[in-house]
Amino acid sequence: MIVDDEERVRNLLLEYLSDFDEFSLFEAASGEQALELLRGRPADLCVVDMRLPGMNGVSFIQASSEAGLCRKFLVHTGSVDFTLTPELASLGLGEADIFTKPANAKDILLRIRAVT
Amino acid sequence: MMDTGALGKKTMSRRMLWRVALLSLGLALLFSSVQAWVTYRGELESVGNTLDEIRKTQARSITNALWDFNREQLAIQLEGLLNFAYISHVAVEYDGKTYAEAGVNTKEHVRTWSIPLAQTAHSGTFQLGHLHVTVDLAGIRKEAVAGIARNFLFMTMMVAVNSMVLFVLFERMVMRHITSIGEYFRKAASQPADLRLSLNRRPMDDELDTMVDAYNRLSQEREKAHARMHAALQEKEASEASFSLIFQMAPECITFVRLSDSVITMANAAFETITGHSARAAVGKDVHELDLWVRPEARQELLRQLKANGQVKVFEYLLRRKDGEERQVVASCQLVTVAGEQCYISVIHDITDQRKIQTMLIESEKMTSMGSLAAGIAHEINNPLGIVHQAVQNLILRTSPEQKKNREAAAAIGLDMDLLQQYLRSRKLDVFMRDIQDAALRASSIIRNMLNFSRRSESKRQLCDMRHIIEQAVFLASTDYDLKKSYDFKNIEIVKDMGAQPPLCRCTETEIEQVILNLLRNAAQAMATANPPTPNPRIDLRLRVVEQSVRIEVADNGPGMPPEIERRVFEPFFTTKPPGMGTGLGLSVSYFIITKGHSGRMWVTSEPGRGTSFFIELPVVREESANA
Repeated sequence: MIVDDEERVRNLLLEYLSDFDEFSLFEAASGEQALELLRGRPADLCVVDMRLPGMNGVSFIQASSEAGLCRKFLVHTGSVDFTLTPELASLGLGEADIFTKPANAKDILLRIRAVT
Repeated sequence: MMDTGALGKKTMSRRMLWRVALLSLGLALLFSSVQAWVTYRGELESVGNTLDEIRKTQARSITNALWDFNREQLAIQLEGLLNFAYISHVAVEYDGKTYAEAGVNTKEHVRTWSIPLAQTAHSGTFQLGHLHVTVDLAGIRKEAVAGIARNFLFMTMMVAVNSMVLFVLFERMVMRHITSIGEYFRKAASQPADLRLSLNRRPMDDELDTMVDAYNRLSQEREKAHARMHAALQEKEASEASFSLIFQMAPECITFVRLSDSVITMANAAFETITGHSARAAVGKDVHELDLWVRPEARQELLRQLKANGQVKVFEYLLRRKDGEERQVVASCQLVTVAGEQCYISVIHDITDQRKIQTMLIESEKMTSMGSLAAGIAHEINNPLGIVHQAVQNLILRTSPEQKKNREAAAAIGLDMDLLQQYLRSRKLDVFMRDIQDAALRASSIIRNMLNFSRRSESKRQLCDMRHIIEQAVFLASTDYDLKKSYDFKNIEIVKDMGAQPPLCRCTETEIEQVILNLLRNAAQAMATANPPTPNPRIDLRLRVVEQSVRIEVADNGPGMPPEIERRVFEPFFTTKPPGMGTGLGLSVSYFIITKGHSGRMWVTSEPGRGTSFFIELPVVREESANA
């Protein structure tokens, strides 16, 4: 599951990952929409932007994690001053799970492969 | 109440007593003498009368006795004559001889009168002889002298009594009051209390009372006048004291300058603070002699404004201190007349530091807003940059012949992936794609760099010895290898002046190292690219402890910077380097690392042709927190 409010960012990553035929991918433009979709079909991993309309990335991770809708999250954000907050750390995220835009897609791919 | 001691002292009463006594005694003596003389004359006259009486009454019977030659009768007659006063000897001369005599004939102090003895008969008058009567003058004199003595004694007693009475009266009526008045004056002089002069007697409305009354009225008036004067004086003194205090204590330099010859007539303590010249030395000197005006024509302008308006509220100029330092000051001036001379008061305030702080505040404000602006821009740029980057990665991925999906899609439309690959290479599309990727990465790394400083990496903070960091930075600089670099640290003399062991600072070692390294590189580059290049390039690294901070100075002897560049060096994206040589971020990142990241200060001073000095100040860790 890729959660990002910017359609092109979402599509480009989706297109990139889809070439590897390893994942079944779906997308959402907001945290609320993503939760909606996840309720229908839980995911193994979510790549989440932090700045989202409505609920922000942290709230979404908390909500979906608590509801058992997803096990693992990667942060993909444009906010360069974003750091690993204690909330994220408590949700099982580490430094390696945080990617700052523009991120190397190959690194994301490798990380996804490593954690799923 | 009589002062019994007055007699023994040289008092007015005593002097008067003696003078009156002496004068009276003299007069008594004179009067007694006159009286004695008058008495003597009177006695002599009475002797004459006696003689007349003898002539009239006795001469007849004596003549008769002589006529009869009756010696017995004559003797009785002569004895009888001796009973008259003062007659000491009588004798009857007949025919030139003494016929009969009585008494004692002493011949001294005597006077003898002769009375002719004539017998009148029928036939005429017959001259028989003479009666010689001798009068004892000494007796008369003795009597007179006795009179004088009596009179004189009496008068003396009178004089003594009168004098004493006069003395006592004078003492009682006048002198004791004069003495008490004197006593009053003596007391009043030593303790100017509100005493009224009064006499120890009942009021009499005489000359003394009039005098005392007049004096009291006068002294009352005088006291009132004195009180008024005293109050006025006190007020004046208080006002003068407070003026003097204000004048001396004022933090602003205040001077009085005579208009006619520009001589300083007064200056307060702050004069020395601002000008370096002591106020005492400056007073009496010409303003030009002290060389206070960096531009004397500015003073002419000030004087022109002063003469035109009588005052100048704000006049900024450059003042030269005694040590030659130039300070920016602002003066307020006013024309005044002091002791008949035209002067102007000048209140001078040093605004150099204020200006510096203002500039620094503006600078810091500018930097902060630029920093946040840059952060905002960076944020907005990152998303599209992410898209560019992702898109180019997708392009590279989807033109790669290795990718299974690519081959499938190509086969479906009858495209040979290897041929495509060849086409891409022959038209350099692969290079273009890599260029796009590189550019996106470079842009993102610039942004990352730019915003890195705003992250406070507290966890990496440790107590650092600045000397170690400087050594490390110098080492890194010397090993710095960059093909593009146009300078070589081997040609630069690096002088380290570290002083004694500095206190430790809490900082991120790598960041400070980066800042110093950056400064070293900039200095080296500036000296190498100067036209002409700096002949003996040298960088001084100084480490000093300034109050609660450690100050690092990186000074070069390169070309320096004009003020308009100096003002902007810390601005993000501001660079004087040719395109591709610098991002314009090195110094602004350094600035934020020091000021925001480490709560320190960073500034620059530069002099074109002389060199540039960068200063870094980092707060020192206090002992207790260092040990904690």
